[in-house]
Amino acid sequence: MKKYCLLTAFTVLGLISCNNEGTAINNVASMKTPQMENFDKAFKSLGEPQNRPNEEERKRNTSELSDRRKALLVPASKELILSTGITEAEITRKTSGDMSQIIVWATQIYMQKSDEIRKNIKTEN
Amino acid sequence: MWITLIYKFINMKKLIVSTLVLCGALSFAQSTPLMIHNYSKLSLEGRLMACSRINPGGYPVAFAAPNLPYGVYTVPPLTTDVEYVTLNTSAASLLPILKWYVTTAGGTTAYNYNDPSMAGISSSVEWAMYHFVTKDDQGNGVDTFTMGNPIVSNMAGFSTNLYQLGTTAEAEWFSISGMVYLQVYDY
Repeated sequence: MKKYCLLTAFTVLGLISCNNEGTAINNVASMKTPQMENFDKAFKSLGEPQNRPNEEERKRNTSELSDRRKALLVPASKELILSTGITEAEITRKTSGDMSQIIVWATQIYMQKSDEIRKNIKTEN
Repeated sequence: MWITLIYKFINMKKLIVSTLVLCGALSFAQSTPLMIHNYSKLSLEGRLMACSRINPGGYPVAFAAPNLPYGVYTVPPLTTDVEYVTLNTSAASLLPILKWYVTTAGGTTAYNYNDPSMAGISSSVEWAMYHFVTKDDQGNGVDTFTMGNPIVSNMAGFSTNLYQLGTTAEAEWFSISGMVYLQVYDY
């Protein structure tokens, strides 16, 4: 009796997983890792009213993002770099804590991962 | 005596090699990636341009050909992660650019992105401007934005803004250690 119960349970599980495979949405957005999503959100947050460039930042004669606004991107950038298995110590050694280097490094990882996701979708379809 | 001479020679060679490497790095440093994030519900339709920061007239001045199926260079609504690493790899982007209209003192030529000339052009220009109209889902124009790095675009005779507030959207152009970003938000 126990055997049958288990067998039924596994069969049901198997059916559910097969069903889910068919309904999975095949787009890049749905396959992004949580760290990639947070990285996205950080860049988007630059447009929130409190994060917009202030008077002083707009008067500067450079296109370089201000340190105040770079700091908004650093936590999500670090999180994304760490998610690839790179350690905090390696980040410090490679970037000496420079915010720009951390963000650009994370951007490269982000784009590489997006490309991989896109390629996987292509081969699956 | 011979040993010291040989030693000096090797040292000089090192210096020459490292100088050459540095020159190479500097000449390629001008070509940096562009990342476009359109967070708005509007489509952006206009002209994307890269030009030289140092040559008179901004030559070579490169305008992107329309990305298919559009009639002008277009970034659809809610489209992010549009990256162009260089002009001569622009077909690999989410919104591929297959052709560039390049103006020099000699005139304007249309080049395919992978034309052998594009590598040299790409390394001598910087991302300078995206001059676009925001359009709603009915195709009605809302605002005109002239975004770009004024220091670079002025070389080609275009004045641009790093930050602009429209009636329904805001846009900004900024760089992080050489990487260039254009972001458009609803507000």
